[in-house]
Amino acid sequence: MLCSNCGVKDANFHYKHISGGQLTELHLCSDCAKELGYIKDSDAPFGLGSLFGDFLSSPKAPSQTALRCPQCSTSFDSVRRTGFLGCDKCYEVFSKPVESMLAKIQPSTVHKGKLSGADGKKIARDNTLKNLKEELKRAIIDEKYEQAAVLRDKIKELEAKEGENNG
Amino acid sequence: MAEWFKEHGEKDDVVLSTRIRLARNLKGIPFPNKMNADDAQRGIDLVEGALEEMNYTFTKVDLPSMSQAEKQKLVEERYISPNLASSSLPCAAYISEDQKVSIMINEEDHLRIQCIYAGFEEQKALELIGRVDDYLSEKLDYAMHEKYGYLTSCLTNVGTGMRISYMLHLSATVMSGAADSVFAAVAKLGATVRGMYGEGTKSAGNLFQISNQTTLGRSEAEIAASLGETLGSIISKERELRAKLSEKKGLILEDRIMRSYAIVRSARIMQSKEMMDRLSDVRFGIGLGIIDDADYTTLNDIMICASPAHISADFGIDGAVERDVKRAEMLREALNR
Repeated sequence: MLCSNCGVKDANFHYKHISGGQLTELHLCSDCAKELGYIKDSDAPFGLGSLFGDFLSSPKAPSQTALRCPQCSTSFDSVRRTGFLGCDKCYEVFSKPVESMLAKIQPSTVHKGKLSGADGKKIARDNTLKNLKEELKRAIIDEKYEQAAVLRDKIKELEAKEGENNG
Repeated sequence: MAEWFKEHGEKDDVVLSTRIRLARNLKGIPFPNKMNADDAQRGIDLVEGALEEMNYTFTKVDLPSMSQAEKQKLVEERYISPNLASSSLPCAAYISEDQKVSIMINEEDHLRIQCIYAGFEEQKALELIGRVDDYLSEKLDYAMHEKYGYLTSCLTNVGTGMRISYMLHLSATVMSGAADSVFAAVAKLGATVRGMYGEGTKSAGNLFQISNQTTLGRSEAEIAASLGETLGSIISKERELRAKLSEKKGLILEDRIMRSYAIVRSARIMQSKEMMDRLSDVRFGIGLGIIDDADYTTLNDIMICASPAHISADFGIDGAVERDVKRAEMLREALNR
Protein backbone atom coordinates (compact mmCIF):
# COMPACT_ATOMS: atom_id res chain seq x y z
CA MET A 1 0.00 0.00 0.00
CA LEU A 2 1.31 3.44 -0.93
CA CYS A 3 1.46 6.34 1.50
CA SER A 4 -1.76 8.35 1.28
CA ASN A 5 0.13 11.61 1.76
CA CYS A 6 2.97 11.49 -0.76
CA GLY A 7 1.61 8.61 -2.83
CA VAL A 8 5.19 7.59 -3.57
CA LYS A 9 6.60 5.48 -0.75
CA ASP A 10 5.16 2.38 0.90
CA ALA A 11 2.94 3.04 3.90
CA ASN A 12 4.28 1.44 7.06
CA PHE A 13 2.42 3.53 9.58
CA HIS A 14 -1.31 2.97 9.98
CA TYR A 15 -3.35 5.36 12.03
CA LYS A 16 -7.02 5.22 13.03
CA HIS A 17 -8.66 8.33 14.25
CA ILE A 18 -12.20 8.65 15.61
CA SER A 19 -13.69 12.09 15.77
CA GLY A 20 -17.38 12.96 16.02
CA GLY A 21 -18.27 9.30 15.45
CA GLN A 22 -16.37 9.31 12.13
CA LEU A 23 -13.56 6.83 11.68
CA THR A 24 -10.67 8.08 9.56
CA GLU A 25 -7.90 5.72 8.50
CA LEU A 26 -4.50 6.96 7.46
CA HIS A 27 -1.72 5.00 5.84
CA LEU A 28 1.57 6.87 5.84
CA CYS A 29 5.23 6.25 5.09
CA SER A 30 7.55 7.02 7.96
CA ASP A 31 8.73 10.30 6.44
CA CYS A 32 5.22 11.67 6.05
CA ALA A 33 4.17 10.32 9.44
CA LYS A 34 7.07 12.25 10.94
CA GLU A 35 6.32 15.36 8.96
CA LEU A 36 2.66 15.35 9.90
CA GLY A 37 3.48 14.95 13.57
CA TYR A 38 2.27 11.38 14.11
CA ILE A 39 5.66 10.10 15.24
CA LYS A 40 8.73 11.64 16.73
CA ASP A 41 12.14 11.37 15.11
CA SER A 42 13.28 8.88 17.72
CA ASP A 43 10.32 6.61 16.93
CA ALA A 44 11.15 6.17 13.29
CA PRO A 45 11.34 4.02 11.39
CA PHE A 46 10.41 0.72 12.98
CA GLY A 47 10.96 1.16 16.69
CA LEU A 48 8.49 -0.12 19.22
CA GLY A 49 7.43 3.45 19.66
CA SER A 50 6.04 3.69 16.15
CA LEU A 51 4.00 0.53 16.52
CA PHE A 52 2.57 1.47 19.85
CA GLY A 53 3.07 5.16 19.58
CA ASP A 54 -0.58 5.90 20.07
CA PHE A 55 -0.82 3.94 23.25
CA LEU A 56 2.57 4.22 24.90
CA SER A 57 3.10 7.90 24.54
CA SER A 58 0.89 10.80 23.70
CA PRO A 59 2.21 12.00 20.39
CA LYS A 60 1.53 15.61 19.64
CA ALA A 61 -1.84 16.12 18.01
CA PRO A 62 -1.64 15.73 14.23
CA SER A 63 -1.58 19.14 12.66
CA GLN A 64 -5.04 20.00 11.37
CA THR A 65 -3.64 21.88 8.38
CA ALA A 66 -2.06 18.73 7.06
CA LEU A 67 -5.19 16.60 7.44
CA ARG A 68 -7.78 19.06 6.30
CA CYS A 69 -7.56 22.31 4.41
CA PRO A 70 -8.25 25.13 6.90
CA GLN A 71 -10.03 27.19 4.23
CA CYS A 72 -12.49 24.61 2.82
CA SER A 73 -12.03 21.56 5.11
CA THR A 74 -11.26 19.19 2.22
CA SER A 75 -9.42 16.12 3.54
CA PHE A 76 -6.30 14.86 1.83
CA ASP A 77 -7.84 11.44 1.63
CA SER A 78 -10.56 12.86 -0.61
CA VAL A 79 -7.95 14.69 -2.73
CA ARG A 80 -6.07 11.46 -3.19
CA ARG A 81 -9.19 9.49 -4.04
CA THR A 82 -10.85 11.96 -6.41
CA GLY A 83 -8.16 14.25 -7.83
CA PHE A 84 -10.41 17.16 -6.88
CA LEU A 85 -9.32 19.99 -4.60
CA GLY A 86 -11.67 22.19 -2.63
CA CYS A 87 -10.05 25.61 -3.03
CA ASP A 88 -6.83 27.45 -3.96
CA LYS A 89 -5.44 26.94 -0.44
CA CYS A 90 -5.61 23.14 -0.86
CA TYR A 91 -2.72 23.41 -3.32
CA GLU A 92 -0.47 24.65 -0.47
CA VAL A 93 -1.85 22.37 2.22
CA PHE A 94 -1.61 19.20 0.12
CA SER A 95 1.43 20.29 -1.84
CA LYS A 96 3.17 16.89 -1.72
CA PRO A 97 0.35 14.64 -2.96
CA VAL A 98 -0.64 17.32 -5.48
CA GLU A 99 2.87 17.39 -6.91
CA SER A 100 3.09 13.60 -7.19
CA MET A 101 -0.40 13.30 -8.69
CA LEU A 102 0.32 16.03 -11.23
CA ALA A 103 3.57 14.31 -12.17
CA LYS A 104 1.53 11.22 -13.07
CA ILE A 105 -1.15 12.89 -15.18
CA GLN A 106 0.57 15.91 -16.77
CA PRO A 107 3.64 16.03 -19.03
CA SER A 108 5.42 18.37 -16.59
CA THR A 109 4.56 20.05 -13.30
CA VAL A 110 5.74 23.50 -14.33
CA HIS A 111 3.30 25.90 -16.00
CA LYS A 112 4.62 27.27 -19.28
CA GLY A 113 1.57 29.14 -20.51
CA LYS A 114 0.33 32.65 -20.09
CA LEU A 115 0.21 34.49 -16.79
CA SER A 116 -2.37 37.27 -16.68
CA GLY A 117 -3.61 39.73 -14.09
CA ALA A 118 -1.59 41.37 -11.30
CA ASP A 119 -0.61 38.07 -9.65
CA GLY A 120 0.24 36.47 -12.96
CA LYS A 121 2.48 39.35 -13.99
CA LYS A 122 4.26 39.24 -10.63
CA ILE A 123 4.84 35.49 -11.00
CA ALA A 124 6.20 36.05 -14.51
CA ARG A 125 8.59 38.78 -13.24
CA ASP A 126 9.77 36.61 -10.34
CA ASN A 127 10.43 33.71 -12.69
CA THR A 128 12.41 35.91 -15.08
CA LEU A 129 14.49 37.25 -12.18
CA LYS A 130 15.14 33.77 -10.86
CA ASN A 131 16.30 32.58 -14.29
CA LEU A 132 18.53 35.62 -14.80
CA LYS A 133 20.15 35.09 -11.39
CA GLU A 134 20.87 31.48 -12.25
CA GLU A 135 22.37 32.54 -15.56
CA LEU A 136 24.50 35.09 -13.72
CA LYS A 137 25.81 32.43 -11.34
CA ARG A 138 26.72 30.21 -14.26
CA ALA A 139 28.39 33.06 -16.12
CA ILE A 140 30.56 33.83 -13.07
CA ILE A 141 31.53 30.18 -12.62
CA ASP A 142 32.43 29.99 -16.33
CA GLU A 143 34.39 33.26 -15.95
CA LYS A 144 32.31 34.96 -18.63
CA TYR A 145 32.53 38.33 -16.97
CA GLU A 146 31.26 40.48 -19.83
CA GLN A 147 28.10 38.41 -20.02
CA ALA A 148 27.82 38.52 -16.24
CA ALA A 149 27.93 42.32 -16.27
CA VAL A 150 25.09 42.46 -18.82
CA LEU A 151 23.04 40.03 -16.75
CA ARG A 152 23.73 41.97 -13.55
CA ASP A 153 22.46 45.19 -15.18
CA LYS A 154 19.34 43.44 -16.40
CA ILE A 155 18.65 42.10 -12.90
CA LYS A 156 19.18 45.55 -11.37
CA GLU A 157 16.81 47.09 -13.88
CA LEU A 158 14.10 44.50 -13.20
CA GLU A 159 14.49 44.84 -9.44
CA ALA A 160 14.22 48.62 -9.70
CA LYS A 161 10.98 48.22 -11.70
CA GLU A 162 9.68 45.79 -9.09
CA GLY A 163 10.43 48.37 -6.39
CA GLU A 164 8.47 51.01 -8.33
CA ASN A 165 5.51 48.66 -8.75
CA ASN A 166 5.46 47.82 -5.07
CA GLY A 167 5.90 51.43 -4.02
CA MET B 1 -25.31 38.22 -35.10
CA ALA B 2 -26.29 34.62 -35.71
CA GLU B 3 -25.47 31.64 -33.55
CA TRP B 4 -22.21 29.88 -34.42
CA PHE B 5 -23.99 26.96 -36.10
CA LYS B 6 -25.59 29.23 -38.69
CA GLU B 7 -22.18 30.28 -40.04
CA HIS B 8 -19.57 28.85 -42.40
CA GLY B 9 -16.10 27.79 -41.29
CA GLU B 10 -12.86 26.43 -42.66
CA LYS B 11 -12.44 22.70 -43.40
CA ASP B 12 -16.13 22.16 -42.72
CA ASP B 13 -16.23 18.97 -44.78
CA VAL B 14 -14.84 17.33 -41.60
CA VAL B 15 -14.71 19.94 -38.82
CA LEU B 16 -18.11 21.12 -37.55
CA SER B 17 -16.85 23.36 -34.80
CA THR B 18 -13.85 24.67 -32.91
CA ARG B 19 -14.41 25.22 -29.22
CA ILE B 20 -11.90 26.44 -26.65
CA ARG B 21 -12.59 26.69 -22.95
CA LEU B 22 -10.56 28.13 -20.13
CA ALA B 23 -11.08 27.07 -16.51
CA ARG B 24 -10.51 29.89 -14.03
CA ASN B 25 -11.14 30.25 -10.31
CA LEU B 26 -11.33 33.08 -7.83
CA LYS B 27 -8.87 33.44 -5.01
CA GLY B 28 -10.12 32.66 -1.50
CA ILE B 29 -13.52 31.22 -2.47
CA PRO B 30 -14.05 27.43 -2.21
CA PHE B 31 -14.33 25.71 -5.59
CA PRO B 32 -17.88 24.75 -6.70
CA ASN B 33 -17.53 21.18 -5.35
CA LYS B 34 -17.04 22.68 -1.87
CA MET B 35 -18.93 25.94 -1.97
CA ASN B 36 -22.19 26.85 -0.27
CA ALA B 37 -24.96 28.98 -1.79
CA ASP B 38 -23.50 32.22 -0.35
CA ASP B 39 -20.07 31.55 -1.83
CA ALA B 40 -21.72 30.71 -5.14
CA GLN B 41 -23.67 33.96 -5.18
CA ARG B 42 -20.52 35.92 -4.28
CA GLY B 43 -18.76 34.40 -7.30
CA ILE B 44 -21.66 35.35 -9.59
CA ASP B 45 -21.72 38.94 -8.26
CA LEU B 46 -17.98 39.37 -8.76
CA VAL B 47 -18.02 38.14 -12.36
CA GLU B 48 -21.16 40.07 -13.20
CA GLY B 49 -19.59 43.26 -11.85
CA ALA B 50 -16.52 42.70 -14.01
CA LEU B 51 -18.58 41.98 -17.15
CA GLU B 52 -20.71 45.10 -16.75
CA GLU B 53 -17.69 47.33 -17.36
CA MET B 54 -16.53 45.43 -20.42
CA ASN B 55 -16.92 46.91 -23.89
CA TYR B 56 -17.92 43.53 -25.30
CA THR B 57 -21.52 43.02 -24.32
CA PHE B 58 -22.66 39.90 -22.54
CA THR B 59 -26.26 38.96 -21.85
CA LYS B 60 -27.06 37.05 -18.69
CA VAL B 61 -28.97 33.83 -19.12
CA ASP B 62 -31.27 33.56 -16.15
CA LEU B 63 -30.88 29.84 -15.48
CA PRO B 64 -32.97 29.58 -12.26
CA SER B 65 -36.06 30.98 -14.03
CA MET B 66 -35.70 28.69 -17.05
CA SER B 67 -37.47 25.40 -17.70
CA GLN B 68 -35.37 22.26 -18.07
CA ALA B 69 -36.12 22.23 -21.81
CA GLU B 70 -34.88 25.80 -22.21
CA LYS B 71 -31.67 24.97 -20.37
CA GLN B 72 -31.24 21.80 -22.41
CA LYS B 73 -31.64 23.92 -25.52
CA LEU B 74 -28.51 25.83 -24.52
CA VAL B 75 -26.74 22.49 -23.99
CA GLU B 76 -27.74 21.43 -27.52
CA GLU B 77 -26.33 24.70 -28.85
CA ARG B 78 -23.21 24.08 -26.72
CA TYR B 79 -23.35 27.38 -24.90
CA ILE B 80 -23.58 25.59 -21.54
CA SER B 81 -22.64 22.12 -20.30
CA PRO B 82 -25.03 19.38 -19.14
CA ASN B 83 -23.49 19.79 -15.66
CA LEU B 84 -24.45 23.43 -15.43
CA ALA B 85 -27.98 22.75 -16.65
CA SER B 86 -28.54 20.33 -13.77
CA SER B 87 -26.55 22.14 -11.07
CA SER B 88 -28.24 22.70 -7.71
CA LEU B 89 -25.91 25.60 -6.77
CA PRO B 90 -26.67 29.20 -7.65
CA CYS B 91 -25.06 29.43 -11.08
CA ALA B 92 -25.21 31.65 -14.12
CA ALA B 93 -24.26 31.86 -17.77
CA TYR B 94 -23.45 34.85 -19.95
CA ILE B 95 -23.44 34.86 -23.73
CA SER B 96 -21.68 37.52 -25.81
CA GLU B 97 -23.66 39.63 -28.26
CA ASP B 98 -21.94 38.00 -31.24
CA GLN B 99 -22.80 34.59 -29.70
CA LYS B 100 -19.18 33.43 -29.92
CA VAL B 101 -18.29 33.48 -26.23
CA SER B 102 -20.14 32.08 -23.26
CA ILE B 103 -19.10 32.20 -19.62
CA MET B 104 -20.43 29.65 -17.16
CA ILE B 105 -20.26 30.49 -13.46
CA ASN B 106 -20.03 27.75 -10.83
CA GLU B 107 -19.77 24.80 -13.16
CA GLU B 108 -16.84 22.57 -12.11
CA ASP B 109 -14.77 25.75 -11.73
CA HIS B 110 -15.85 29.27 -10.80
CA LEU B 111 -15.48 30.38 -14.41
CA ARG B 112 -15.58 28.36 -17.56
CA ILE B 113 -14.93 30.78 -20.40
CA GLN B 114 -15.75 29.26 -23.75
CA CYS B 115 -15.46 30.35 -27.33
CA ILE B 116 -17.05 28.54 -30.28
CA TYR B 117 -16.80 28.90 -34.06
CA ALA B 118 -18.18 26.86 -36.95
CA GLY B 119 -15.49 24.87 -38.79
CA PHE B 120 -11.77 24.99 -38.07
CA GLU B 121 -10.97 28.40 -36.58
CA GLU B 122 -8.18 27.77 -34.07
CA GLN B 123 -6.50 31.18 -34.41
CA LYS B 124 -9.69 33.25 -34.24
CA ALA B 125 -10.88 31.30 -31.21
CA LEU B 126 -7.55 31.56 -29.38
CA GLU B 127 -7.38 35.26 -30.04
CA LEU B 128 -10.93 36.03 -28.93
CA ILE B 129 -10.89 33.91 -25.78
CA GLY B 130 -7.47 35.34 -24.90
CA ARG B 131 -8.88 38.86 -25.07
CA VAL B 132 -11.86 38.04 -22.83
CA ASP B 133 -9.59 36.25 -20.35
CA ASP B 134 -7.04 39.09 -20.27
CA TYR B 135 -9.79 41.56 -19.54
CA LEU B 136 -11.31 39.45 -16.75
CA SER B 137 -7.91 38.77 -15.20
CA GLU B 138 -7.46 42.53 -14.69
CA LYS B 139 -10.82 42.81 -12.96
CA LEU B 140 -10.92 39.59 -10.96
CA ASP B 141 -8.48 37.98 -8.55
CA TYR B 142 -7.79 34.66 -10.26
CA ALA B 143 -6.44 31.79 -8.14
CA MET B 144 -2.88 31.34 -9.36
CA HIS B 145 0.18 29.41 -8.31
CA GLU B 146 3.80 30.36 -8.97
CA LYS B 147 4.60 26.90 -10.30
CA TYR B 148 1.27 25.49 -11.52
CA GLY B 149 -0.27 28.59 -13.14
CA TYR B 150 -4.09 28.69 -13.09
CA LEU B 151 -5.54 26.58 -10.30
CA THR B 152 -8.60 24.44 -11.00
CA SER B 153 -10.77 22.15 -8.94
CA CYS B 154 -9.65 19.05 -10.85
CA LEU B 155 -5.95 18.35 -11.31
CA THR B 156 -6.57 17.41 -14.94
CA ASN B 157 -7.16 21.09 -15.80
CA VAL B 158 -4.37 22.81 -13.86
CA GLY B 159 -1.88 25.05 -15.66
CA THR B 160 -3.38 26.66 -18.72
CA GLY B 161 -6.88 25.49 -17.77
CA MET B 162 -7.36 25.20 -21.52
CA ARG B 163 -9.21 22.55 -23.46
CA ILE B 164 -9.52 22.84 -27.23
CA SER B 165 -12.22 20.61 -28.76
CA TYR B 166 -12.97 19.98 -32.38
CA MET B 167 -16.27 18.43 -33.38
CA LEU B 168 -15.60 16.12 -36.31
CA HIS B 169 -17.70 14.23 -38.81
CA LEU B 170 -15.85 10.98 -39.44
CA SER B 171 -18.27 8.97 -41.57
CA ALA B 172 -15.69 7.25 -43.80
CA THR B 173 -13.43 6.47 -40.83
CA VAL B 174 -16.36 4.72 -39.13
CA MET B 175 -17.72 3.06 -42.29
CA SER B 176 -14.31 1.65 -43.20
CA GLY B 177 -13.95 0.15 -39.72
CA ALA B 178 -10.89 2.31 -39.04
CA ALA B 179 -12.33 4.23 -36.08
CA ASP B 180 -10.74 2.10 -33.34
CA SER B 181 -7.27 2.25 -34.82
CA VAL B 182 -7.51 5.97 -35.57
CA PHE B 183 -8.72 6.74 -32.05
CA ALA B 184 -5.97 4.59 -30.52
CA ALA B 185 -3.39 6.54 -32.52
CA VAL B 186 -5.01 9.80 -31.43
CA ALA B 187 -4.75 8.74 -27.78
CA LYS B 188 -1.04 8.01 -28.22
CA LEU B 189 -0.58 11.54 -29.51
CA GLY B 190 -2.01 12.93 -26.27
CA ALA B 191 -5.52 13.72 -27.45
CA THR B 192 -8.87 12.43 -26.22
CA VAL B 193 -11.87 11.35 -28.29
CA ARG B 194 -15.34 11.83 -26.83
CA GLY B 195 -19.00 11.81 -27.80
CA MET B 196 -20.93 14.79 -29.01
CA TYR B 197 -21.67 16.70 -25.84
CA GLY B 198 -18.41 16.03 -24.02
CA GLU B 199 -17.30 13.70 -21.30
CA GLY B 200 -19.30 10.51 -20.87
CA THR B 201 -21.63 11.16 -23.79
CA LYS B 202 -22.16 8.90 -26.77
CA SER B 203 -21.43 9.59 -30.35
CA ALA B 204 -24.30 10.13 -32.75
CA GLY B 205 -24.26 10.48 -36.52
CA ASN B 206 -20.53 9.72 -36.71
CA LEU B 207 -19.75 12.91 -34.80
CA PHE B 208 -16.83 12.94 -32.38
CA GLN B 209 -14.98 15.48 -30.32
CA ILE B 210 -11.23 15.42 -30.07
CA SER B 211 -9.44 17.50 -27.49
CA ASN B 212 -6.10 17.92 -25.75
CA GLN B 213 -5.68 15.65 -22.76
CA THR B 214 -3.17 17.58 -20.67
CA THR B 215 -3.09 21.21 -19.62
CA LEU B 216 0.15 21.72 -17.66
CA GLY B 217 3.76 21.99 -18.83
CA ARG B 218 3.07 23.27 -22.33
CA SER B 219 2.07 26.76 -23.43
CA GLU B 220 -1.32 27.46 -24.99
CA ALA B 221 0.32 27.77 -28.41
CA GLU B 222 2.18 24.47 -28.00
CA ILE B 223 -1.00 22.67 -26.94
CA ALA B 224 -2.88 24.15 -29.92
CA ALA B 225 -0.09 23.25 -32.36
CA SER B 226 0.17 19.68 -31.16
CA LEU B 227 -3.59 19.11 -31.24
CA GLY B 228 -3.69 20.85 -34.63
CA GLU B 229 -1.19 18.36 -35.95
CA THR B 230 -3.24 15.42 -34.66
CA LEU B 231 -6.36 16.99 -36.15
CA GLY B 232 -4.57 17.37 -39.47
CA SER B 233 -3.81 13.66 -39.64
CA ILE B 234 -7.40 12.72 -38.71
CA ILE B 235 -8.72 15.01 -41.45
CA SER B 236 -6.33 13.61 -44.07
CA LYS B 237 -7.20 10.05 -43.09
CA GLU B 238 -10.93 10.76 -43.27
CA ARG B 239 -10.59 12.45 -46.68
CA GLU B 240 -8.42 9.62 -47.97
CA LEU B 241 -10.95 7.01 -46.78
CA ARG B 242 -13.82 8.98 -48.33
CA ALA B 243 -12.05 8.91 -51.68
CA LYS B 244 -11.30 5.20 -51.35
CA LEU B 245 -14.89 4.31 -50.39
CA SER B 246 -16.24 6.37 -53.24
CA GLU B 247 -13.88 4.66 -55.67
CA LYS B 248 -14.51 1.12 -54.42
CA LYS B 249 -18.21 1.24 -53.62
CA GLY B 250 -19.30 4.09 -55.85
CA LEU B 251 -22.82 3.02 -56.71
CA ILE B 252 -23.62 1.32 -53.40
CA LEU B 253 -22.42 4.36 -51.49
CA GLU B 254 -24.30 6.75 -53.76
CA ASP B 255 -27.44 4.67 -53.32
CA ARG B 256 -27.13 4.79 -49.54
CA ILE B 257 -26.55 8.55 -49.55
CA MET B 258 -29.43 9.31 -51.92
CA ARG B 259 -31.82 7.05 -49.97
CA SER B 260 -30.99 8.92 -46.79
CA TYR B 261 -31.44 12.24 -48.57
CA ALA B 262 -34.81 11.14 -49.90
CA ILE B 263 -35.92 10.00 -46.46
CA VAL B 264 -35.03 13.22 -44.63
CA ARG B 265 -36.86 15.15 -47.36
CA SER B 266 -40.01 13.00 -47.26
CA ALA B 267 -40.44 11.24 -43.93
CA ARG B 268 -43.46 12.02 -41.74
CA ILE B 269 -42.03 10.69 -38.48
CA MET B 270 -38.36 11.04 -37.61
CA GLN B 271 -36.61 10.04 -34.40
CA SER B 272 -33.60 11.99 -33.24
CA LYS B 273 -31.12 9.14 -33.71
CA GLU B 274 -32.34 8.39 -37.21
CA MET B 275 -32.03 12.08 -38.11
CA MET B 276 -28.40 12.08 -36.97
CA ASP B 277 -27.59 8.96 -38.99
CA ARG B 278 -29.38 10.15 -42.13
CA LEU B 279 -27.84 13.60 -41.93
CA SER B 280 -24.44 11.95 -41.59
CA ASP B 281 -25.04 10.28 -44.98
CA VAL B 282 -26.24 13.56 -46.49
CA ARG B 283 -23.18 15.34 -45.14
CA PHE B 284 -21.00 12.66 -46.71
CA GLY B 285 -22.92 13.14 -49.98
CA ILE B 286 -22.20 16.88 -49.97
CA GLY B 287 -18.52 16.13 -49.38
CA LEU B 288 -18.39 13.75 -52.33
CA GLY B 289 -20.24 16.20 -54.56
CA ILE B 290 -23.14 13.77 -54.99
CA ILE B 291 -25.52 16.23 -53.34
CA ASP B 292 -25.19 19.79 -54.57
CA ASP B 293 -28.45 21.42 -53.48
CA ALA B 294 -27.77 21.34 -49.72
CA ASP B 295 -24.89 22.75 -47.70
CA TYR B 296 -23.11 22.03 -44.41
CA THR B 297 -24.53 25.09 -42.66
CA THR B 298 -28.11 24.01 -43.37
CA LEU B 299 -27.31 20.60 -41.90
CA ASN B 300 -25.66 22.05 -38.77
CA ASP B 301 -28.60 24.35 -38.25
CA ILE B 302 -31.34 21.74 -38.67
CA MET B 303 -29.42 19.18 -36.61
CA ILE B 304 -29.46 21.54 -33.63
CA CYS B 305 -32.87 23.17 -34.19
CA ALA B 306 -34.57 19.76 -34.49
CA SER B 307 -32.92 18.38 -31.33
CA PRO B 308 -35.39 17.22 -28.68
CA ALA B 309 -35.14 20.19 -26.29
CA HIS B 310 -35.34 22.70 -29.14
CA ILE B 311 -38.62 21.21 -30.36
CA SER B 312 -39.99 21.01 -26.80
CA ALA B 313 -39.03 24.58 -25.92
CA ASP B 314 -39.75 26.24 -29.27
CA PHE B 315 -43.07 24.56 -30.03
CA GLY B 316 -44.26 23.52 -26.58
CA ILE B 317 -44.33 19.89 -27.65
CA ASP B 318 -43.66 17.39 -24.87
CA GLY B 319 -44.73 14.00 -26.29
CA ALA B 320 -42.01 11.97 -28.02
CA VAL B 321 -44.17 10.98 -31.00
CA GLU B 322 -45.43 14.53 -31.58
CA ARG B 323 -41.82 15.66 -31.43
CA ASP B 324 -40.82 13.12 -34.07
CA VAL B 325 -43.64 14.35 -36.33
CA LYS B 326 -42.50 17.95 -35.87
CA ARG B 327 -38.88 16.95 -36.54
CA ALA B 328 -39.86 15.32 -39.84
CA GLU B 329 -41.77 18.45 -40.82
CA MET B 330 -38.78 20.67 -39.99
CA LEU B 331 -36.43 18.48 -42.02
CA ARG B 332 -38.75 18.57 -45.05
CA GLU B 333 -38.94 22.32 -44.82
CA ALA B 334 -35.18 22.84 -44.42
CA LEU B 335 -34.10 20.41 -47.13
CA ASN B 336 -36.71 20.93 -49.85
CA ARG B 337 -35.86 24.54 -50.63
